[in-house]
Amino acid sequence: MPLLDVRGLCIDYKLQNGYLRAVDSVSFQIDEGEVLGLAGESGSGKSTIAHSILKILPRSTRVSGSILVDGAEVVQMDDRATRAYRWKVVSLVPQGSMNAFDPVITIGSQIVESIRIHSDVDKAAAWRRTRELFSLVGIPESRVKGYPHEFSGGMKQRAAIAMALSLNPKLVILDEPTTALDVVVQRQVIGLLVRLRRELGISFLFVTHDLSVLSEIATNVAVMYAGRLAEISTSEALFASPNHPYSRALIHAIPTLSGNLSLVRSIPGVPANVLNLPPGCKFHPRCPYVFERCRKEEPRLKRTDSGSSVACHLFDGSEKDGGG
Amino acid sequence: MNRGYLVRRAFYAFVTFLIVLVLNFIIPRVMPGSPVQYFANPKILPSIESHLLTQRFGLDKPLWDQFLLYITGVFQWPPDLGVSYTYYPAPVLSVILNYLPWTLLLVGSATVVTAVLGILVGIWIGSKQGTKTDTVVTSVSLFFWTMPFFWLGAILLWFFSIYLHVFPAGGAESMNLSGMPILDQVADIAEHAFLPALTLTLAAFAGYSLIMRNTIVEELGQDYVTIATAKGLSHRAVLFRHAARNALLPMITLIGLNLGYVVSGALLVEVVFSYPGVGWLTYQAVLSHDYPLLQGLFLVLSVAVIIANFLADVVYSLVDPRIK
Amino acid sequence: MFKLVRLPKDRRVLVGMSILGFFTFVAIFAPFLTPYGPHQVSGPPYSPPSFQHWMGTDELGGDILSQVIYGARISLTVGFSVALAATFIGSLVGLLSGFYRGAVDEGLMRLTDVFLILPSLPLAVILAAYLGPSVQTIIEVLTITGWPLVARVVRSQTLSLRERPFVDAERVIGAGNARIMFRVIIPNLLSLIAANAVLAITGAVVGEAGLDFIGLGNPSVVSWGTMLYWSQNLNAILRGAWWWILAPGLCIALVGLGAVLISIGIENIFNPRLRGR
Repeated sequence: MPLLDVRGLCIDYKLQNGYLRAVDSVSFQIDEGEVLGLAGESGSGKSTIAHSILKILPRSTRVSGSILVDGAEVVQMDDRATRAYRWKVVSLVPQGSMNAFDPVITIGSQIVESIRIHSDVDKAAAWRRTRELFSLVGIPESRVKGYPHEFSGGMKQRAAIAMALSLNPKLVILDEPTTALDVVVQRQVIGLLVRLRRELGISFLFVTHDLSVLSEIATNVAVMYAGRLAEISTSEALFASPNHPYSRALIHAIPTLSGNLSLVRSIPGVPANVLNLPPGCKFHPRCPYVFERCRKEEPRLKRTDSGSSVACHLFDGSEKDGGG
Repeated sequence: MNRGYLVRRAFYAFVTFLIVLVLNFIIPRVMPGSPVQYFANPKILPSIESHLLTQRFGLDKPLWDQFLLYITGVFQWPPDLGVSYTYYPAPVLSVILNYLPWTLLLVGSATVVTAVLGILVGIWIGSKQGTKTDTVVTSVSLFFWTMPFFWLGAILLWFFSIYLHVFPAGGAESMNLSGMPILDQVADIAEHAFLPALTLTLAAFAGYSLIMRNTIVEELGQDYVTIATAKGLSHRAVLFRHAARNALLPMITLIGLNLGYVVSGALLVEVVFSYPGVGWLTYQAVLSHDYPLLQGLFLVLSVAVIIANFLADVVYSLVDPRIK
Repeated sequence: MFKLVRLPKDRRVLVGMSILGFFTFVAIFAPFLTPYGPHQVSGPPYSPPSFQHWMGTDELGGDILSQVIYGARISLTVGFSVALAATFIGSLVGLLSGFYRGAVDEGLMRLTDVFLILPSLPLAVILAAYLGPSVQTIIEVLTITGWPLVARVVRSQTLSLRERPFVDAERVIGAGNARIMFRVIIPNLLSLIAANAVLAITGAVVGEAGLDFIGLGNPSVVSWGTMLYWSQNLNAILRGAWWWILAPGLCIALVGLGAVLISIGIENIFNPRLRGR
């Protein structure tokens, strides 16, 4: 049984005059010990999906479909069950860890808080565990009583990871964990995550717009565009031979340090405006391979012979439905 | 506690005090009429006194000499602020000090109640932002806030005192106060102070509650609140343990800043209730053109507010760990 | 700027504008609306509201409703004038201070802060006491105590606007300070200034009442504030003449509320965060 099983997830945000569909029929799975990279531009819906798993979207948001975590259905869970479930099985390292911590409380206290919400351990034990977590992520234990403004960006990121690990969750969602960091610190954080996965066997859902980061850590990668899945495949397959025109463009947009110097090609056109999506395939206005069917009919995610799943009419030869 | 910050604030308070001193000095001297006419008017005071005062403050001397004498007067102990016309021959300062305690009682109790009430209401409304409760309470608060303090006091006075005979119609204490046992004395004073304090509270609490509401709304939108929710904290815990704590900090500064406003309101309320504080004194001074007294009142009240603001700064530095 | 056309769609703003519109109308057409003249004795003194005198009479027998209607003229004049003047001066100071920064900024802001901390009434009292009791005094004094708040707010906004990328873009194409100020900064400040100007009406009308009440206005002029002054001086409450106090005060409160509602509406258009989820 997969650890995380998302099926047909649809998420609608409430606006002043109606609802806006941010995520449309997304399905994917994460098995124990795996890392799924969820990639896409801003507004593609990836953060929304991440937040929906922990049910921290605004109350007015409509969520339909199914999210199974360790076999338990999350979407319909009541408030009390939700509070008990949060952080224990799934936790979150948020986007902009700059603000993940309450500025007027020490970081250690906040980690202790997350421990004591869910278990009856006494304070001393909780602080011990907190110190352990600090050393696990590579922060000196003496900093445990420090305030957020006394930590550097990279240290705060590690502290956020420590807090996410405090209850030994099976799945940790990381929302753009490296975006606000410089490349040197990025490297350290990625290294930490790789080590944690190896030592603790945790699964990660790694949300980012930076594909190059995923190549080091992800088992599988799901590429999103305009709230829909464009392609899911293993990390190797995606980087070696991407199928969907959007994935292809993304991969080819990554500059390489070695090898032949070729022109870095950016994707023409502007990112999809979720308020005003075109009919048919949402990517067709920017697609170099567009043909008539793309303008009218939205492609469904289908499995290709190589094992990836792609939502593109170019690959619509197979009978099986993809994505699961 | 941080020394550098406090030293800066103390210095700043002192500079403000100096500016007030200069203002206090300059204003009557740029107006039509002479300083002698205002402060040692021979038509009101006996000519000997008029002459003495003119000498003491150099009222007929050039501006700079006058200023030096004025400063000398202020910086002695007890400070010499001139002689009052209406309470002749009492010096201005002692007259003011006679009436000041009642005002301190009124403003002090009102500030405490207003702040507590305003903050609690603000938190309540902030967590219910956008709902009908929010709109109703905000509108009611606004209504109280926009009406003149003293008019509200008059209405309350008429209703509770004249119409219902529940509270005394004015004054700060009954005639036979000193003959009563201590507990009765306290009750008597409280009874007299209730309506004026209530007036101030009703009119001023909206200032706090509205700003607290906006601050809470902003804090609730911050990442650390999302994470606190994701950790499994109940809505109430997130609100009070995290959002409210952060929102309280600017409130401390606000209490200091609002003090000038509350004092001004208190002055007028005292007139309505014939409450013998410095407001009532100001009213008498205006009616009898007692300029020395008016100048003294401005100085004393300004100093009081400056000191209170500095105390607010001290409290703030104790509470916010980010002050460096 | 054209977003302001959306204003009347907000129900609160509609209410606010109706209130202010109503009182302005009343003030302008006062002579046609009052049953009696403002100083005319027309009934028994201290009589409660009745059919002949909807808001009762004062100590001489003058009709209070007529006084309230005529009083609107002075009170609203003071309110609008002070709001305009204080906002203009405050905005100018705030803009220059925030834009040029440096010593100018430091000096101006120290001065502004002093005015902000001090209790405004004692300051207004000593200013007005010397200038003599008149409507003009009140306008001048309220303007002096009113501009600092606007200056602070405008300066804040100017500072943040200054750092925006579009200002850098203007500099890159060689724009001078004047052009940047007029083409970029000021248009973006207009909504803030408008909101503050309207809000200032509230403070001005209440301030006028306060200054009159404490004896610094001209008692022979009929305004909402002087009506309150007379009612206090003649102990209207103790005589049970609640109508004398209710009428002018209620008008002040309503005008204040109307102004606040409009001001909130202006703010909400330009700061959607406060609108609610």
